[in-house]
Amino acid sequence: MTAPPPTPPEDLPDEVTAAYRRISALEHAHPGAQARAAILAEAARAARSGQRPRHGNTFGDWKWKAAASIGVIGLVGVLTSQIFHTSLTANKPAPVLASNAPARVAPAPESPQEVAEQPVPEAIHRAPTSSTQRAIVPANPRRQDNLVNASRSVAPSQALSPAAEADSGQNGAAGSAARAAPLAAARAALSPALSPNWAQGIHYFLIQPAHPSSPTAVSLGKVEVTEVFSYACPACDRFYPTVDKLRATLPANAEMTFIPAAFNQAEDWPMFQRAYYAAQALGIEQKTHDALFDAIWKTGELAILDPVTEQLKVPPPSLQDAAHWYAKAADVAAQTFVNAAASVGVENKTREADEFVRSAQVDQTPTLIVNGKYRLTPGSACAGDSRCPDAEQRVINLVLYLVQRESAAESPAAKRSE
Amino acid sequence: MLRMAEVQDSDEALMVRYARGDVHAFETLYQRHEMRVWRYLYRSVCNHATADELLQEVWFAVVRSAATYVATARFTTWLFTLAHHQLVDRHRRSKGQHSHEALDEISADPIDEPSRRAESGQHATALIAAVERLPEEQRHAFLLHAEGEMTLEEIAVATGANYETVKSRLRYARSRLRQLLQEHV
Repeated sequence: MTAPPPTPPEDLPDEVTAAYRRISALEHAHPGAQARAAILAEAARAARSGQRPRHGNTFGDWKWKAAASIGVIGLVGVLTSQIFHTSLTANKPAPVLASNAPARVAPAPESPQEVAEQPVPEAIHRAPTSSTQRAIVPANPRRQDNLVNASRSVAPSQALSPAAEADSGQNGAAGSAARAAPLAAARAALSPALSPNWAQGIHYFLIQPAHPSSPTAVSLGKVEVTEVFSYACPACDRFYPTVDKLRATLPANAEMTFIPAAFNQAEDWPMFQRAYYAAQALGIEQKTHDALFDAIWKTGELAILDPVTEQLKVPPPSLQDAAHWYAKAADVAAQTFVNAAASVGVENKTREADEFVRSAQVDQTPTLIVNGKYRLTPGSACAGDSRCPDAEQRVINLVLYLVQRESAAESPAAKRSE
Repeated sequence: MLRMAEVQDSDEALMVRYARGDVHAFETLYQRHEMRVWRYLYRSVCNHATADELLQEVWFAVVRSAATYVATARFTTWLFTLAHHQLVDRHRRSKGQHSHEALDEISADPIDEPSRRAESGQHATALIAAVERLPEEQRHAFLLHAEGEMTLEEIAVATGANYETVKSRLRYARSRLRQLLQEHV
């Protein structure tokens, strides 16, 4: 029996690759929930219907393309009539639509507010022929200048991005002026840099069904703004100044609450979740909230990473470690803290929190939930643009907008049950 | 929730099961590889929405190809090859509209977002930023190796380059990143 040939040294991961993998594994950026949902739904659909094409265009594909083509024609028609209508009225913006949008054509909105509320499909629909079908992408708030400066940046996708449309308009290659005009209006309608409109499905997401209540208890009639977070999440550490600012900005009828997530066991999140609820049981969580972030990420008193290797500590900080830290920070006996953490009340809180995170479809931290009904993240507030320059202000503005919407309802409880 | 049988199944076996209609097998497969594929795309295009869109295209291609899938190579090699082709296709279409642009220019700015900035210090941030700043072909070679765990030979097949070229790209990428790591130690 001959030994397998030795692996060439180039194929072995070196220290750079190892460092990259370590850092990558710790990163908290994730694919969007809607992309994931679309993929799994498509896989399930194909498995159910057995419509996986064998070779080339199947009858199923042909039907799909025909439906999409009809949809395209219909959409162009709707957009054209919309812009015509717009020019006759008060320059009302049209919704962002793309040529592979579902064949279902929604009625043209009647007001800018309705435009902002125009539901955008959460999933980017499949394009059977990628070169001819286009996908819906969020309006890119940084690229509003691309209509006049298209050469500076390439469209992030084949979708109806400003740069792509500007080029097609200028070159006259892909679309006529008649087609470009309504699309430009449509983009302007959803470009937050140009207008205050926020779009469901892009900047925030509807939680369906709305979560009836969070494990926190806000006063009746108050609009609840919940941050799902973990002390051990570095993005949450960076985000807490924004949360502090948001809390200070909320109107009197809104209340900021916190739900610690525990879905990342590798980074000790369950321990920090329990610690949060123990601190809450002892009435010291507000006093220690920001300080605990600092203890993990600045002073290193409860760091989850080894400062030298930057790898996760083994073992990670324990509840005892946390208890000693709380003892110093809030003047409670460490044993009292440990007892609180082991209490039935705290156990129930952790279960409720996990359930809330699941049912609100939270897939990353930090995530903000408004009244159990709307979900957003710093990334979604920027429409997925990772280079968004004013992310903090956008998050605050978006939350205030959603709070305002909820406040407008007669009763928040009634709104939640919608 | 993963079932034990699925945990033990190879990727290739799961793909065959999915081709027979077992959607749980696909879910397992997807959960195993979602993040690595997405990171490869994300680091290449530096835009969350575009990475999501490409991720869908890649996995839709997996779905479409399930019936004809034959395990002639590791599943991950095939998967990352699909991902690479999606990137190239996207690049080509972008170039069609912007012939004076290069893919490198799309991702010239390193991603700068809370989660990224907040990684474990400058060291991590600098490494990721440096990966994103690598010239396109070096970046692809490095990411296919680091995320896709592909060998040089597999990368050569996926990217249509010859073995020595890939070897040189990967060596150069590693060298640049190593230099950067040393600067931050």
